[in-house]
Amino acid sequence: MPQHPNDAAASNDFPPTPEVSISARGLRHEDILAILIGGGVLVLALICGWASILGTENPHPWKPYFGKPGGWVSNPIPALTKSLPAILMPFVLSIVAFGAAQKLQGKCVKRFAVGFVGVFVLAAIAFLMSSQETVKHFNLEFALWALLLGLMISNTIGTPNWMRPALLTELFVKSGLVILGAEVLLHRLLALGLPGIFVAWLVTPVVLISTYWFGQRILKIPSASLNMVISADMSVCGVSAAIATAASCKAKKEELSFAIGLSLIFTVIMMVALPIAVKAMGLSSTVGGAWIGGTIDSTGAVVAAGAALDSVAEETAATVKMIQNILIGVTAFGVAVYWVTFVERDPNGDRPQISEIWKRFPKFVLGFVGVSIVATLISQYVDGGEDLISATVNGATTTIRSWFFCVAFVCIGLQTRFADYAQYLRGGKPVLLYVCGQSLNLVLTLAMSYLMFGVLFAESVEKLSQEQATEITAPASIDTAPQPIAPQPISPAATEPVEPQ
Amino acid sequence: MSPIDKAERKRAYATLGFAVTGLVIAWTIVFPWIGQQTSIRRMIERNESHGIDPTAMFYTDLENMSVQDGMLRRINDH
Repeated sequence: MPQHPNDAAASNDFPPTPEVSISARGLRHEDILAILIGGGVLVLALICGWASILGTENPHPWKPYFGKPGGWVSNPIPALTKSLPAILMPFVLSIVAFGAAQKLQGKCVKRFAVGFVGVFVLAAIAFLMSSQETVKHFNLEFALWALLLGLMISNTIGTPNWMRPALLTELFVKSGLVILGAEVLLHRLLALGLPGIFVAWLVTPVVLISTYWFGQRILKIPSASLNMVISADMSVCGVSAAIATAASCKAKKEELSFAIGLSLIFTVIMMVALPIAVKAMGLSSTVGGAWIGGTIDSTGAVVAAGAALDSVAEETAATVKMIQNILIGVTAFGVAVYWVTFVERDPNGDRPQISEIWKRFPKFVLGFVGVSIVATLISQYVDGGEDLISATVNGATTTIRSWFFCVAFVCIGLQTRFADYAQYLRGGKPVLLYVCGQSLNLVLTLAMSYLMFGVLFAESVEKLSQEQATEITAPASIDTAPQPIAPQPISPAATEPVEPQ
Repeated sequence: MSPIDKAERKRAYATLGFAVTGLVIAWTIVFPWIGQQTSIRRMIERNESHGIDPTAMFYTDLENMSVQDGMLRRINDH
């Protein structure tokens, strides 16, 4: 009998969604709780921001109270003590929101609170580790260190019993994703016009689908969910896409963490290698920038690699990546529909009914997409809406969802044994999948970038680049613009050399 | 708790202590030293001067995204 592609369903860490109804039982359901927590945080932040932001250039009133440990070089203590007040508020908000969720689920709030203190302290240490100067500039994100800290404890002394009631990985991830929805502003999909649409919209789904198909049919990777998480992580936008897709296809926790580890390792390599390749190939700033933006997984690494070329490459790379970032809404929704319709169905049974699909559908995805649509509408159609959304996201909710994700990764580490990863390394198939998928991504994105930015729309792109250069050299219009750098064709003599580390 | 359990527990705590010490050394001595090497320093300074945080997970984590918003506005103006 053929094996079910997602055989792990029985022991899934993002478990199948039971039937939800608008009842007390429905309200207790994890996906609904995630929508209530994420949506509640957003509504509260928008209300608080409304009065003080509209018509002014004031930052969001929450900005001074919600933060993460600041940067440091060799002594973390000053960075930690300076950030303590701003760390306290995310802790209070989390303990209130998730404590209320525990109460609604009929669980002991006190036991959760005690455990959460330990989990939160580990998350704060993970943030502190990621803000060390060298670590930060090598794009080694907090997720990696949160996982490592959790793994160190669970694989040595074992996860203490008092921490276990706070290991609500799925609830943290899903609540964070609902908040992330406000950052997925759909009108930004058009940020680079037609060439951007071709590079980001066409290549991304093609690579995602081809890599998944390759993993299933050629490599025959036993876990379809691991295959999907690696494919999305590699083709869309790294860690954030991996988190969203893992929750949509109900992947195992160790599959998510494995995919993220893989992605971060390759991101460091590509962040250094791609600017060198762009120069060696003599590509223009826009073609090189689009290539970098479409292929490097992590958003921050994309901008760093683009900046290694010049300001035009940096902007093009960052904008292509932004479009890919926004595609995670569509990806999460598409993967959730595909999973409940095709992957989870009985291979010998009939096609599932709509009611069956609805029953299995991860409802938090609706919250994620719904928040994205509402935020886009506010941003586009409400007077001052764009400023309100931007200030709310930058001043408050980005930090909050980062804490939720960091806490979730600590929980994953605390719930995983090193032995759980051994099966993925055996035979090297997931690594091979990543390498093959990324190779396809590199070839397709380069071809499309060259065609769009170098041939078909070369003139209008050149005009935009000139305008961008003018804007950057006039810093009065943009406060945070980078150092003025005139756009110029990339040649080894014209640009700063990037040395491999 | 049997003597074997006790010994195992001791070993587990010792392993954790060893790992934590390794992390402390790496973060307070090794990484700062790596950051001082010329090529790495150049990369760090370039990123810092452009206001780039390479660990940004999403575009909204980038303080400098107003530049990209500028591109969106120009596209809309055209």
